[in-house]
Amino acid sequence: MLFNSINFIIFIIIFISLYFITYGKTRTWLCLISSYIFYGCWDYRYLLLIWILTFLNYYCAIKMSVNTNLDKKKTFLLISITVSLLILGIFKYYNFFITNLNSMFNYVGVGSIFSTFNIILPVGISFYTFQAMSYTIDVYRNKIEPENSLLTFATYIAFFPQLVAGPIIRATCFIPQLKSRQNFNSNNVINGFYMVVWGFFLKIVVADSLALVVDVRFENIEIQNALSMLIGVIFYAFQIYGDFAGYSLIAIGIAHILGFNFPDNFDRPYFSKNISEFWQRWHISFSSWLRDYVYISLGGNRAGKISMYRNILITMLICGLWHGAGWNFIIWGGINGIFIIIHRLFNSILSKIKFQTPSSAIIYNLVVPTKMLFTFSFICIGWIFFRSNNLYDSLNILNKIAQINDYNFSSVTQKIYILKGMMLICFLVFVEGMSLLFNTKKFLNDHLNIKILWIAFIIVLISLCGTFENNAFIYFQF
Amino acid sequence: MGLVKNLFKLIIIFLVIDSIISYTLFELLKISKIRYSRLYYEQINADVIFIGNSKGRNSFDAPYFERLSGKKSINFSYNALPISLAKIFLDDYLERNQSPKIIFIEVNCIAEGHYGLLNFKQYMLSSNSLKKMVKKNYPLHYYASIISKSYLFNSEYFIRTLYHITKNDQSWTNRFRINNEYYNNLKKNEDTFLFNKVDESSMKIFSDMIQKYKTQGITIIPVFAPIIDKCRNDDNINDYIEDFESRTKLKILNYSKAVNDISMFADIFHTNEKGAIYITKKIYDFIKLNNPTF
Repeated sequence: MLFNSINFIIFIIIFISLYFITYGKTRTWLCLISSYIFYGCWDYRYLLLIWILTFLNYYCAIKMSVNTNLDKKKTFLLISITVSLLILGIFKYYNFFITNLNSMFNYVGVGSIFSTFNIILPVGISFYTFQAMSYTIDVYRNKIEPENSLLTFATYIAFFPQLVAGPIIRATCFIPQLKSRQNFNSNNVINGFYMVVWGFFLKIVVADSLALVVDVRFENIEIQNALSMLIGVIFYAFQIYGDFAGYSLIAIGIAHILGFNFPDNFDRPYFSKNISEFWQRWHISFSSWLRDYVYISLGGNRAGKISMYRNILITMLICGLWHGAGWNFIIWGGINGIFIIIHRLFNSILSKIKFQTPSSAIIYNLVVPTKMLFTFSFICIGWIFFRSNNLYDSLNILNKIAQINDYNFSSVTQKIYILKGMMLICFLVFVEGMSLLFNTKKFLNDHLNIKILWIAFIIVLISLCGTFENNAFIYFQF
Repeated sequence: MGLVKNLFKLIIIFLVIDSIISYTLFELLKISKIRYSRLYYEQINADVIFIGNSKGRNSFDAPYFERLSGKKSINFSYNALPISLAKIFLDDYLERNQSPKIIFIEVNCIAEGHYGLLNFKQYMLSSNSLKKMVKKNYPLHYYASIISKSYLFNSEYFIRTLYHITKNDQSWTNRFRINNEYYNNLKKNEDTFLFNKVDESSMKIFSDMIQKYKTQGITIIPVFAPIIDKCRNDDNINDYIEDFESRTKLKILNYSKAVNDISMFADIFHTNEKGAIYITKKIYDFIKLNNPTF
């Protein structure tokens, strides 16, 4: 069931109505059953995977808490992590691994040995697996007490707004809220509704409008000129942002209407002044997951600079692999890792030569946008690998864009859609830039009538510029 | 109580903003120089009308025909325009203007479907036939446009309307030419496009048009626009034409093979500006030859 579908609108109206007339365990049951219906609408057979992960992590966490012996605790942790990753591995990475293995065997003349499975990737498997794993690791690290109620824990894993495409909510944040009573609060409803509306704007208006230009370019690379391809890449950067940030906002907004507070998942990432900052603003719930459970577990920056760079690279390669079973995703992760390392190296050199940040306001105002533009350019290079169908296409696109004498607007197709896309990007950058400079979020919270006016305006914009074709969210595939 | 009050406020403000925006956009629609705005909000009284889908848009150059013949000409072709929609536009045109002498129709638009219908939903404000058609085929979109009038203006076509607010769109043809590398990579057998014979329902609409327009003294001339050689199957096109002519009793001007110079093509199906001038000249020569008094 897609958020941007009539079915979901009917579903959510019924759910919210029932939610506020129930309380206690009945309400939790309502959340759980609705979440399973929501997921089952896509493919009910894969509910089994959610149930396996739920029981496994619930059981292992309980067992870890009753065992004082560290080795036994570790054993349960390993069982939980191994089985969770095994499930993820089979459903998401098995075919990728086997295809590459067969290619290797073919290369040495042995021929294909293993056959691939004909399986559909379960929607959101990476999200709910990582959410479940974070809970068990936190219990092991004594950050939280294990949850005794299976009902509460199952609801935490399967809560439908963030089940299929995040944000990945930590148990420390969500389980206490699930256990406390969420009363109806009109402020929560208005604020949540505002997030949902802005999320729909990002998805239906920004992402889906840009997709019309992006898809044509990435699927027909041969016939594009350099400018056309560059437009495709820049538009994709905003498409994926609109798509994913839009989904996250809708999820956070729905939870907010119900009375739950989830942290932001995106914080105006394209205003980042360097690549490290970008990763602190992009998909925050996932990047902080990687930091806490991969980067720090590998040693973080505790064992010298070389180890730190190695850990960054490994973490970012895992980040790429998490996104998809394909070399393009791994390379995308690797490129981002290398950019972060270069940025850190550059920073350490600058700090050694005691480079002074310009104090003059004029120079500062020029330096900051330049840094943002540079960072955005580097991010776009990564997106080429992320979006392309294969490595050959990625290199072909880079080659196309580098043809300086091929920047000719007259032979660029879809000029009308490009014009619309450019206007939408300008509007988005303006709105987000304003919120960065003047903290418009606080202003809107303090002025309810202006907020209502703004919501009404955004709804009219959705009606006027939205693309109503039930396009799936990009991050569903992860 | 606070929530109900705020919800009420939201609905009122939404309706006010929606009305202001849709009113402004409707005024812009009326003054635009784009083809269908001229059809609904301007007296045209053309002598010659061209109509078709994107092949018609890129093969007919109405201003050039006007210069050659001295007869007022207009092109009502649009990308993916199906025959059902072409009929509505022509009927609405004839209600508002004097009958033309000739209508040239690019035959590839004589096909089923309502693709592109929603692109023109803003003209529901001025055409009852269009309104009925949208209501029948896209009821959800029809009712959405009642709730939010701004939704009427949510289309690729409307952005073009704004682009053509002061600029006539009659010379709108593709300006680029097919990429040599792309053309060389085309394979005669793999990339050939085959045309299906006109389906019954589309033929019924077209036959009704022929009957109706004949009584108004209008000559309908079907045209088959050029296809690039590597993607053309002449036997298939001949079969299509034979079937079409036997069913309609109209002779097609077959220009499918008329262009061999790839610099006249924008892509495999569409001629460009240069190709449109070439085809328009051929049409003019045909008319002059067969009807010297035209």
